[in-house]
Amino acid sequence: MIAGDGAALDARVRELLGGKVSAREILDRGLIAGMEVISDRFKTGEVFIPEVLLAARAVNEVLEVLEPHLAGEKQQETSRVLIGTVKGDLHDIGKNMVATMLRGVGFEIRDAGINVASEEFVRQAEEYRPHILAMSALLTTTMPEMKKVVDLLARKGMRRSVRVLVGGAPVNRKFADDIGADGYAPDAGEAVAVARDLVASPS
Amino acid sequence: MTTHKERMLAAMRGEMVDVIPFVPRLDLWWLANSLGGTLPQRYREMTHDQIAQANGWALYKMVPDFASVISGPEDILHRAIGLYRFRQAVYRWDFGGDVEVRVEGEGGQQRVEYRTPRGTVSTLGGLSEEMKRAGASLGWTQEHVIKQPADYEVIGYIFEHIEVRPNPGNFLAYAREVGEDGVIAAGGPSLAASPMHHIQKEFLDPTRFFFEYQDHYGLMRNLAERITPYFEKVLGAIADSPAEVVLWGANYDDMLTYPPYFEREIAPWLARAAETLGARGKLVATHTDGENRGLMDLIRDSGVHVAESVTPHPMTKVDIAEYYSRWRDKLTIMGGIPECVLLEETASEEEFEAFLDHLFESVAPGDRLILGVADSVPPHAVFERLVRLGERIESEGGLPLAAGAARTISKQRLEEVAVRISTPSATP
Repeated sequence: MIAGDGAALDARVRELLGGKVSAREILDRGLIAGMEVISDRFKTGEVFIPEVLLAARAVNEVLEVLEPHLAGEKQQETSRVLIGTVKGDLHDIGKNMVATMLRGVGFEIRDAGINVASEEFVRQAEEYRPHILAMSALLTTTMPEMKKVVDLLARKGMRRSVRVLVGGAPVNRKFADDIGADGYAPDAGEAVAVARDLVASPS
Repeated sequence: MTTHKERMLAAMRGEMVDVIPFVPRLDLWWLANSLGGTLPQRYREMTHDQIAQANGWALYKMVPDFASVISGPEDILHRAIGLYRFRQAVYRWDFGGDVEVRVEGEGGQQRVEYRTPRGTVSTLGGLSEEMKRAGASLGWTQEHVIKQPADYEVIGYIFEHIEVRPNPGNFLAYAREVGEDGVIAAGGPSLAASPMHHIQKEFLDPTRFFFEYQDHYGLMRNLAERITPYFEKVLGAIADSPAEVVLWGANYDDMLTYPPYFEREIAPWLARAAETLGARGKLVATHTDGENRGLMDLIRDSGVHVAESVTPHPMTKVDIAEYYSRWRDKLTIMGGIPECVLLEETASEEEFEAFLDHLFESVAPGDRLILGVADSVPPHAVFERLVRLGERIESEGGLPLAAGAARTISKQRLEEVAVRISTPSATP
């Protein structure tokens, strides 16, 4: 998995399932634990973003093998993230990387795409009920859209149930604090750690 | 009297100049505010160059002004395969071989189809009025050209048949227009530094690039080799041109162009461009805008003469003091002021002033430095901060700076001095 070898990982997972290892154990002790190793190595500079993305892709592929088995086991709730780039902004590099990395460490992701209006973010949040709403902006002109989303969530009475995470090149801690976001991540690697903190800490 | 151009070229060569040059990039700020009707009243009838001149600033002409093309929208029609015709080019390229281009749609969303004997590829994208108002001058690629393995062959055919010929006419006319008010950088083959970087920047979305680099490395390597002749032809045309400064490659980020990749795929071409063009007396700049933390030594040692659009902390992880101390021996730093300090949303007045205090304290003795806003002055910038920036550079940027000696002269201190020097008995 750490080598991003999807075929080898697939074979190993099927072997373990055949050996009566539970799908939940494979997921928790194998895949998610492995992604945590990768995340730690990424933070310390031992591996780079391609390795993280390749490992995350391999994990996502074998999740399809595990899912039928997981359905038969007692379900644990997975943390859900609704992610998108704000209205007026078509940049998706950072957003896609964050989505891939979060998915790789076990978050369930709904990608709202790019150029997402505040009303659409909130509509999808009402429908999907995410634990985290993550927003990205690359343009200084589109950053204010993030505040519109935070304000609209508040008006809809959803601020206590949805944690807001923001990022993107022009965004900084001051801006995140000023608009009332719960978390700020300067890059995709940091986003994983911040997202985990957000779901672990009560609102 | 030293002109802006003379001062900038001297700083790029590493010579000590009289005052730190200040060259703010205004084109995107101007475009957004001009279209939105929000230019400051006093600038309503002015171009961005006239606004810079009115404030005594040098004209920024490093990254091409994509809003000011040669003949019309067709000059940026092939943006999604990384080919442009802009005023800063000293060459002209044309499709060779048997390539038929078909276009559907207009400006905001165009499908461009390339039909060749090896197959057909297409892109989808464009530049809408809404995007321009948001400060964009370059279109968005909604659908990249590589969609399946067979597309590599088609793109290879297109690029290996591109014809390049010297054509410095537009560049020279532009240079006459700018005169001594700035330095025009001649554009390289694209916004990428190398053929593989070109594939990464233009042909696939970044995440998919990394997957393809793993899954179809052979196809990708072969394509890079087929793009190489185009890069070589452009390099030759620039070497023979009258350009004094060349912009070669753009955007280095330690996540996207991670260190081993940069070393393998980008640095050799930066070195080649710097060596070839340097031998012909030209200075090579590269647009480093991005997170450079993991690339500091690699960029410094790449051989280029100018790191253009250096974006320091708080927009990235590298402080301006570190940039200056690690790069000054080999590179001239251009930029150095992150755009976020010009925004009310991300920096208070106190934080803005504190950044400038820190800047002046960090860049002694101040040579090898051309200050500007990286990557560009943002559309919502507090323009008075830009004016203040120019004033502080003028009053505190005289060289050589003494380390830690630069301080803002307070209004009270200025008034005290004014009173003292206007009192007749104070002097014999």
